[in-house]
Amino acid sequence: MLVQFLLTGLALGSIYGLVALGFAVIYKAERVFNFAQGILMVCGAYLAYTATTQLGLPFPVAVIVIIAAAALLGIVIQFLFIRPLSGQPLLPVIMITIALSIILKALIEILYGVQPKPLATSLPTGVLILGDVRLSQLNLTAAVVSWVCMGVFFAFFRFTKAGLLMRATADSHEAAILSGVNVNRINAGAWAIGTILAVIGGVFLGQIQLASTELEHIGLLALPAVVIGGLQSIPGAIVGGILVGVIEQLASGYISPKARDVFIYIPLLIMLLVRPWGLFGNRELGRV
Amino acid sequence: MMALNGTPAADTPLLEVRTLSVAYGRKAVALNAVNLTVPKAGVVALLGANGAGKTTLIRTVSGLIRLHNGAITGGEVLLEGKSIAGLSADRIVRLGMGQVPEGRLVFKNLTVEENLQVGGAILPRATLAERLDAVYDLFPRLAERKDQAAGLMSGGEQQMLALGRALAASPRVLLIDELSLGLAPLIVGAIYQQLKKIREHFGTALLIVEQNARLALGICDYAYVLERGEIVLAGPAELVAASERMHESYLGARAERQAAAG
Amino acid sequence: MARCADGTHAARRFLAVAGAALSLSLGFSSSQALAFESPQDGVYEDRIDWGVTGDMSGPAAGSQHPWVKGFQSRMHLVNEKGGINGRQINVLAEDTRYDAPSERIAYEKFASQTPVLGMSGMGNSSAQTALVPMINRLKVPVVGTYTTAKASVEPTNPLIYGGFCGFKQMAQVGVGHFANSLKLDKPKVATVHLDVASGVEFNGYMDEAVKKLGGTNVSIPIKVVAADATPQVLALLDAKPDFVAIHGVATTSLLVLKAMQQYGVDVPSFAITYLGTPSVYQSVGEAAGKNYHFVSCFTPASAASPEAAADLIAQAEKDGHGALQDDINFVAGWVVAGLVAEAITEAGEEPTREKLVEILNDGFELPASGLSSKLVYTSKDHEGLKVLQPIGYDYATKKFKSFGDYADFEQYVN
Repeated sequence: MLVQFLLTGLALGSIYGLVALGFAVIYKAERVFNFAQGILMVCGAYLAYTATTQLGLPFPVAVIVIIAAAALLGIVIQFLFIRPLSGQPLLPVIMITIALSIILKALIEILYGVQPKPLATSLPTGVLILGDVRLSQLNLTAAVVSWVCMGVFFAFFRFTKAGLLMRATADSHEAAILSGVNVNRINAGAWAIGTILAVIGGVFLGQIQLASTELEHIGLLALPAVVIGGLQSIPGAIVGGILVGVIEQLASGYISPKARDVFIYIPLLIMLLVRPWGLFGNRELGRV
Repeated sequence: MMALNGTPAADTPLLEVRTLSVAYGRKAVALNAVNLTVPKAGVVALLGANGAGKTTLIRTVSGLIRLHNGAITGGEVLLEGKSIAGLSADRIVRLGMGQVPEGRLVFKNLTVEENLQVGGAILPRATLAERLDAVYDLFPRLAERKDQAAGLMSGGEQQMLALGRALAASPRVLLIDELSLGLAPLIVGAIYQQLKKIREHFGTALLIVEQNARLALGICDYAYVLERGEIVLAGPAELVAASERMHESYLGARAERQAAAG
Repeated sequence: MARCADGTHAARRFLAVAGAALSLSLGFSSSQALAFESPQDGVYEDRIDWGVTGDMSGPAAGSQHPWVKGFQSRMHLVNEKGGINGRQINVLAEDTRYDAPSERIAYEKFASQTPVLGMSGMGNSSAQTALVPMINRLKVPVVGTYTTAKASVEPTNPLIYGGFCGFKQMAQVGVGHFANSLKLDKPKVATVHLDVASGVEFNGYMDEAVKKLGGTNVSIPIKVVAADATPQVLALLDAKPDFVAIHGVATTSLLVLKAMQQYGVDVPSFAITYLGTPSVYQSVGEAAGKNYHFVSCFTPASAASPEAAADLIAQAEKDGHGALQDDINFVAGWVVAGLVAEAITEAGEEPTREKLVEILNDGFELPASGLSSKLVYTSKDHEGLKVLQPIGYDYATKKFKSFGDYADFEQYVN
């Protein structure tokens, strides 16, 4: 039973970690606390619905279309709403992301209607049986894809010039500008990556459940994940996401579904009180 | 402006500021009809007390003035004869103007090597390695600390890194803002020695903004003195250093204070 | 004085026009009339205003929006056939977003600002419970609720009339049918339910129905926005039930059924009426959905006789809701609008709120239509639709299938 809970929690937590990672990338790049991350994830589920069910694209093509659309969405959001507010205090930017999430939700409901849409992607749906433990192939695929994305992401930041410039910009905007870096382009890139990661998470959650704006609540589990892991920290976001997934499973399994929220948000409170920079954050930079 | 004998420029100047006026908001005039020229491979110092407008001038030249809510109200800034006023700061850097801002601005979480790579990111890949080697030659200290996170180095080393990062981009002119600020005199002296070498090694022109007039006059060919937003004195370094005005307001007072302290 | 009155008129006209614009922009089709010629009960020379509230954009919109569409479609049909006693029925739909304060504002509006003869919907049971005192005071009859809160019908309230299958009957019919068809003596049952008031209530009814047969019921709660149902299904594995009852939203059924399939829990299940939609069956898939049923007092068009469903199918196509014709909620809205039309007709040439209440409270009955079981209101019982039947889905034909007539299942209800 325990192993079962741990593995399921790990699989779901990987999806949360992916969405949280996208959140952390955007936060690191521009210090934008992006409350729209949850709804960006929902966009992923609906993009998958459009690409597979409405357009009838073969799955590999659909994946490319979904990722391209996600990148475009992130870039457009950054260009229209975040760039003009560059240099403004935190609060107006936060309000913008909240407004954005409400607008996107309404747009989705206008475009797709309020009825949840079932996804019909060719992701595997069977069961993998390992002794006593049963894992859904879909959850397992989600976890594996999440880890691959995280790996690609690390390689990108570690080994490519664009990744280096992104890290530099996150480190100091001004120094980046004075090194000739076009920070607007870099920030747009961060939004594209953050949106892509959210959208991939959304495709999986949409397939596990239904494409529905209610998924936003699950997407917003990325917030406790990043706060627990450390806002500034990339590994922190992933570990935070996995922790949230495992806590969720153990609390619902051993106590009650309601207990889940208590056990996710109590560590968040404790973290904010005793270690506001999070498990992996930087003490100087990482206060919430 | 009191012009002393001699002009810095023979042919087209590298950087030219013509009757530049800048204001913050509607009324606060920060610069008033300022003229300044940096010739090719020349070393020019911009001197003045705190609040004289040095930072405003350098922000305007480097394209950062809009970020600080200032606006050009008149005049021009020309880089190799082309107007750069109103261009974005990163664009200006890519056109060949390197920047060493005040406060040792380095990427603290990146290694020394990565800092230099970001600095040289505008160069084609083939020439970057060569350029970095040249920078390491100039600052052997940086070569020793290649893999160290910049934030863990001493103030002097960070200042060196900031210089090295700006040089990595092969700039034709380098703006250096308040190099000496917050550093021990010994270290400042050492870094000023490196500045001399920069001209020798790379042929880079330097525009040095400095509160410590004695230091700057020690290495520059030509100097401008800014007071309350206007150039009040300009001329070859030795003449400026010898001028009465300079002596009274900057060098003399300081020398006396230092004597008293000594 | 005259100027003052003009000013008031202008303001009202502005409000009415703004209201109309707002309604249109929110996608409701209601031909808003100007508010200033307002008789008290919403009855005009050529039309009758009738209010509908529902969640059209909030968390319960997935089920309540089709319900409102079903209601409107039926009224379109009524109007196309000449209306009632020469009057068109003008449906004023308010989106209350599953939110008690909005529900209250809408009800007040229906009482006097844009008065209506009566209203339907009110699909949030806690809002309904909270509004009972207000309903008693403002006296706009609520005819055909989307969900029936206990406080609305116990004790019987002359102003409130149920329009949906009750949780109690859902439990009774589900338990009765499965115990009978699986030939179970003392059935072992597990109830997966949302950890909200209505879920706990449903589980209570399950307890009662199972206990009556000498069996046992295990309560397994789940959250509204759960990401997965592993803990619930592990609890199911533990309980080894003969069959499972599901209370929740569409996602609940989906997660539970998929997890059951994943863990090899192959027992029949039935869900509450609201979860009997084609989209639930389609997203669950045949492997996990073949043994999944729901209990309902309404019949989806594809499971009904062609004659009974003909009007609904034709009108749904005409109104552009073709895809909703098999949605149990659309059918429910359609049936309730039929109830409303019948009640208004019986209230005579000049209907008032008072007459309407008199008609309904005094023993009102609609026979089973083929789209629903028979509806009965007596002065002591306003629940209305009391007989349900289990319904399943045939994946091959993409049609719902019933297991008999409503009359066959009357035995389980008391």
